[in-house]
Amino acid sequence: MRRIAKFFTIVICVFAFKANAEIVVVANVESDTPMLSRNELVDLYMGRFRTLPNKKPVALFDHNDGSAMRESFYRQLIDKSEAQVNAFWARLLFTGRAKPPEKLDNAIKVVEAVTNDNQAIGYINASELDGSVKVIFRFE
Amino acid sequence: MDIVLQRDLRRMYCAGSRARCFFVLISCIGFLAICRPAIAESDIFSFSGFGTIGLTKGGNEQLSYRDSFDQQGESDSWQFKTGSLLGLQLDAHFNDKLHAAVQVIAKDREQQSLDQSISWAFLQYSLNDQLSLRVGRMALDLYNLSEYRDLGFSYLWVRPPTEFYMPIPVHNFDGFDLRYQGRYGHGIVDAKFFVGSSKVRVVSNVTNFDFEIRPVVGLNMSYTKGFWKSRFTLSTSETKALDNPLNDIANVIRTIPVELWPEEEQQETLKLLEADGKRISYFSIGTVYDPGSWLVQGELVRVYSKYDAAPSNISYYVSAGKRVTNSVSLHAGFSRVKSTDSFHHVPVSQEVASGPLAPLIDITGFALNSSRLNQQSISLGLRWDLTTRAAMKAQWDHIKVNKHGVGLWSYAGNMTDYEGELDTFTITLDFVF
Repeated sequence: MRRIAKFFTIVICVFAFKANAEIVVVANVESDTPMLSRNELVDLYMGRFRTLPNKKPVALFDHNDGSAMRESFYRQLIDKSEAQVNAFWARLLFTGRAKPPEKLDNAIKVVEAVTNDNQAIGYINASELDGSVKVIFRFE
Repeated sequence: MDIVLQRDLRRMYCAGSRARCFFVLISCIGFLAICRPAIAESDIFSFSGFGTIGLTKGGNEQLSYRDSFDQQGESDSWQFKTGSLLGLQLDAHFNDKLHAAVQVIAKDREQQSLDQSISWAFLQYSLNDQLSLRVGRMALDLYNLSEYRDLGFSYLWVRPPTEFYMPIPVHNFDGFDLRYQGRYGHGIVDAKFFVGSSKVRVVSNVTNFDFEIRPVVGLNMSYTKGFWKSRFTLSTSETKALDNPLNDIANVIRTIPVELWPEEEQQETLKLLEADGKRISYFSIGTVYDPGSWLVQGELVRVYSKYDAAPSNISYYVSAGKRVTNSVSLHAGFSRVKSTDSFHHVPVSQEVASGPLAPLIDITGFALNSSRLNQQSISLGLRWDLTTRAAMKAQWDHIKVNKHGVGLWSYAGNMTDYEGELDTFTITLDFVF
């Protein structure tokens, strides 16, 4: 019995550890933003589309340049380095097509921004989730 | 000859006004930079910029290197002039639908003016989530990189492939464009219709060509799905010669009595020199394949020109790049341009051509054929991302110029028959802020 309990504890710990590295994309609980497909998320964070499926303009939030979160997010989303990401956002900015997403310091600020705006979406660590925001995309 | 004297006088005047204009421009940039903190606080306005510090060694004893037709040309020694630039942009997002932007670029130009330095200034209105309209000055969006050719930080090469991007001297236009963007299948369709006009200056060693294209009309469409993006552009324009030295030559020809130069042959020659109301059309296609660490792209354009002194041509490039470490990418490419119209022989008999009119015949032949292009290059380069906002690049281009194809270069005298191989070495530091 003890061994089984120990085994399960280890298994749970492993999963808990994995959950720490998991990034989730969140939106306002009261918004009508549905779960996004990977393509739709790529379109938004690569500036291809500025609107959510409800046809209203999105308020996109990002993390600071050089932060581990930002690096990990784009790496998982489109397999590009931060410099490459900045390169294509620069392209959009300097052709007048789109404004890069606003950069925030940490998850608390992201949650704050998302709870204040129905059209806002941002990404945080799954471990930083609380009931105040809803998940619209999870990296598998 | 009168033409030569005019050229020298023009040069002397331009040198002084060039310095003055550049000074004014730098002051404006300085002023904007100081205002930046104030602008940064605002929700509506935002200020950003980009630049390149480029060190280039190109050309040889006979040919001078330049990045574009509005530059003088530097020969065979390391220089910062042709490849360095600074761009500043002010954006105003008034609300979700209305956006205005101005972009100014300071770089080496033979003739500096504020008008030339404003790369674009437009007002954009979003009609809905798919359609938007822009009015003002915008980039002439003929090719994949047309809208951001000066943003070195955004691509792997030190400059967009020369044989493809340099031949068209028009970079922006004043007018309007209508853009549509929508989902189709699992991809995105992006289409744009544009109409406007543009003033162009082409610097040559004989004299400068100032002309206008009015109107320029075009449609481009791209389809992006997953890692693939394909696009095509159709565009047509009509020339209006403003300050055309070919007119000076034509005027001289008209004074030659028909005993020395037969009427019929004179008329034929004058027709070739005519620069007004000539149609130039562009048909281009391009593809980009951009999965994780690879980047493969190519473009092809067919230019049909009724303007004899700027002949029709075909040009293309292919390029492959690979990110080899987290911050280093390597790339290799090939590009080519070739004029497709035949070489112009001034329609006079051998007798007339070798008589006292020989210098005039020579200069006419030169003027008609000096824009001919027949050149290809292979390039190898490296990009090193120093920070998330700055990159360093090095590139080697090995160029082969074929006979009657030296049109991209700057040179003294008559180099129409030049053929040879030469190298361009470039090191750049590209940044955004």
